[in-house]
Amino acid sequence: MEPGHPDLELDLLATVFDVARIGICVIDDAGRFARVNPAFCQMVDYRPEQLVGQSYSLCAPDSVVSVQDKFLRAILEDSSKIPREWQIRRADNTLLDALVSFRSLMHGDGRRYAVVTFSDITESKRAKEQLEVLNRELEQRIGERTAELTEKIGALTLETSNRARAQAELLDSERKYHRVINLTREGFWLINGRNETIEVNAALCRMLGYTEDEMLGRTPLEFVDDAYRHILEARLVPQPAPAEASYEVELKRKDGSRMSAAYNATAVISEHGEREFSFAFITDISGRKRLEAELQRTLSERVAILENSLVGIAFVRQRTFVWMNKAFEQDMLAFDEGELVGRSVATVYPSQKVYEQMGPVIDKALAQQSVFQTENRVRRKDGALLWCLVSGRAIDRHDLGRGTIWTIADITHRKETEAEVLQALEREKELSELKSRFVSMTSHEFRTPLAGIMSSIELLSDYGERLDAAERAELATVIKSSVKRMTQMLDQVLLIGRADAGRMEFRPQELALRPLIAQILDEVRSGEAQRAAIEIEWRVQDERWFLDERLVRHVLSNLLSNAVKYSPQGDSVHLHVGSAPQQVIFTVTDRGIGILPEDRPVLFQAFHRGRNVAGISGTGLGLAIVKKAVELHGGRIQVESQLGKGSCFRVFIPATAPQSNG
Amino acid sequence: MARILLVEDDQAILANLARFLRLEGFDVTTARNGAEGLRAVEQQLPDLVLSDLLMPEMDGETLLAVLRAETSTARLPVIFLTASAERAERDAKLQLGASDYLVKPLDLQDLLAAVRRHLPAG
Repeated sequence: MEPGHPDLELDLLATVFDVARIGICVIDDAGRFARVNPAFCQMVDYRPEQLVGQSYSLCAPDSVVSVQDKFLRAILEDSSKIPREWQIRRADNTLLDALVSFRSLMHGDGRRYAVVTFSDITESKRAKEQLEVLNRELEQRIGERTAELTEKIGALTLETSNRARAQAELLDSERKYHRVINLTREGFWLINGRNETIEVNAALCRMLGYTEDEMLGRTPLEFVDDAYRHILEARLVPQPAPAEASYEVELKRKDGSRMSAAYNATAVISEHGEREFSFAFITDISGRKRLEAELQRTLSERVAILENSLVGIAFVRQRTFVWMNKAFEQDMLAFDEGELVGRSVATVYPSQKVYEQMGPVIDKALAQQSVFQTENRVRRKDGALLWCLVSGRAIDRHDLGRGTIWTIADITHRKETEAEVLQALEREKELSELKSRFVSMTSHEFRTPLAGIMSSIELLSDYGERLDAAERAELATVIKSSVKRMTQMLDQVLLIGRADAGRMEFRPQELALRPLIAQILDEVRSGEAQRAAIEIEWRVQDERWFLDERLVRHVLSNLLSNAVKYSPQGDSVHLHVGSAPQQVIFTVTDRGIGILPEDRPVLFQAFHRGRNVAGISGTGLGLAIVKKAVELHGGRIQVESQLGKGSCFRVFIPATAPQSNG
Repeated sequence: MARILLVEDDQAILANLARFLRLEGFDVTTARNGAEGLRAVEQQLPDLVLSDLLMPEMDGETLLAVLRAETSTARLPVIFLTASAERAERDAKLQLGASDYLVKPLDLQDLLAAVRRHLPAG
């Protein structure tokens, strides 16, 4: 533009006035629009003819209308007090923000006019306000996020003290965070919302055999064994629930081998519920897994051993069964599986009384030496008692409350065997004693008649011519009676031998008692040198009975000859023959030397003789034979005796009488 | 004539031995147990005693003990006649102070030799 050309300037001004993007209006000193340009009309949405000649207050806000004259003067005087941002009222009564500049000028007609220009700043102002709102929102969100993170990390700090310390330091600073992450022995794995690895620590790299670069950008799914993939897949979704979780997975190392790992994941969730990122601590649990497997195998073996043990094993706490193996519960004690668990140990004691007695004894023993062992009886479910070797061991003898382990071994069989062995030994001992008694008896009792025979023969052969006939006859009688005595002894020995071998027979037949007993009495009287008389008392209803004659003979002849023999003073012997229903009772009473109390237990043993028999000869077989004969007859024998006063033998023999012969 | 006291509870043996010793020229007194034997000794002191061991009332051992306890009979020869063949038992009897023992059944000539051996000289 070139000054000095007024026409050109006028044209230019008119054109600028019409096409300018800023609104321009000219207000006269009466406050009326003198001129308006198209841009202004557009701003206020009036046509020019609606504005020109009208008061400027048409387009002024209420705040200006009330002071329109004062405001007009201020404009006309170019007051610097007027703000540069105005609000303009549009035709539709809405307000418009505008940046204003104005200038007053003196026209040629001598009146003042004000030229005002407007530029619409509504858009930029709204943008600015929106910007501020956005800023505030942003700040608020950042604050919330920070609080959320703090809270999250605070929760994590509670997890373990180590991790808590690490996390606390993590909060402290980036430096510490990285230091901790790289120093921790656990693997650290940070992934973003798209499951891409954004950070791993040295420990994790070491565990898996990858470098950090090899892992960055890849998803953890690539590093997990297929069998465990689903676990992480379920984890690496946009909205994992819960936010924190632990898993045991198998991770693939670079060399293809597998590593058992504890995968402790924490997802950081945005306010929209989306997973923004997540991190995980990885612990190598291969060793633990191996130990667990080993332990499990060992335990299985132990349990199998315990279960299959022939020895009963039970674990007892507070005198209550906690666990026991099959041998204990089912095989030995005949309970059903699991039936004993939770029951008192009193259940298996022979009686409540034994339980109450043993309890304190056992506790004392366990507390003193931690082991208690006994051979005792144990009660089965059916009440039967088993002999068992019972061993108890305290887990901790200072604290019996921790329980005791009990083993029981069924020794019933052993006890029986022991008893059998003892019996056999006893029998052997008896036989041995029997043998020595036999030897001693034969040595003594056979030598005496032999001495009679031998001296008789020597006298007859060497001095026969000096003896008269009567003397020679006497010697012959000695020989005969000695031989008879020896024969009787041999018979007795053979008889007891037969009885011992079970070859003594029992053949009852109907017999008359009276003649039999008379015969026996004769034999006894002739057989014994003693003078004792035998009195007989009959108190028997029936005369005839079914009896074994030989057995009755053995019984009576031995009892009577003993009674006579051991009555050295010649006191009479008494035989009482009585009966009761279905039995015959013989009672032989003497007033002889009697029986020593210490001889009573062995009274009926073969070759056993009373210690008080002194020079009275005998084999020690008589009463043994009596007993065998009585037993063979199904009877029994009673003895009463007083030393020096006599003895009484009473024999009960079951027998039947045939039809009474009246 | 030497006096012999014969103590024996078996009637036949007592009779036979008394008969034999008398035939051999001894003055024989008989007793059927230790008690009777002691009474016989009190009545007339014998030169030698022949005694059985096991007898009723008083056995040979007791008889021997009583005789050894008395000054007058302390050195009296006593020969036991025993039916026991147990050597240990016989040795025990000798320790009790018996002069000798003979085991039944005895040979009469052995008996005679023993009697002569233990009779005091003269």
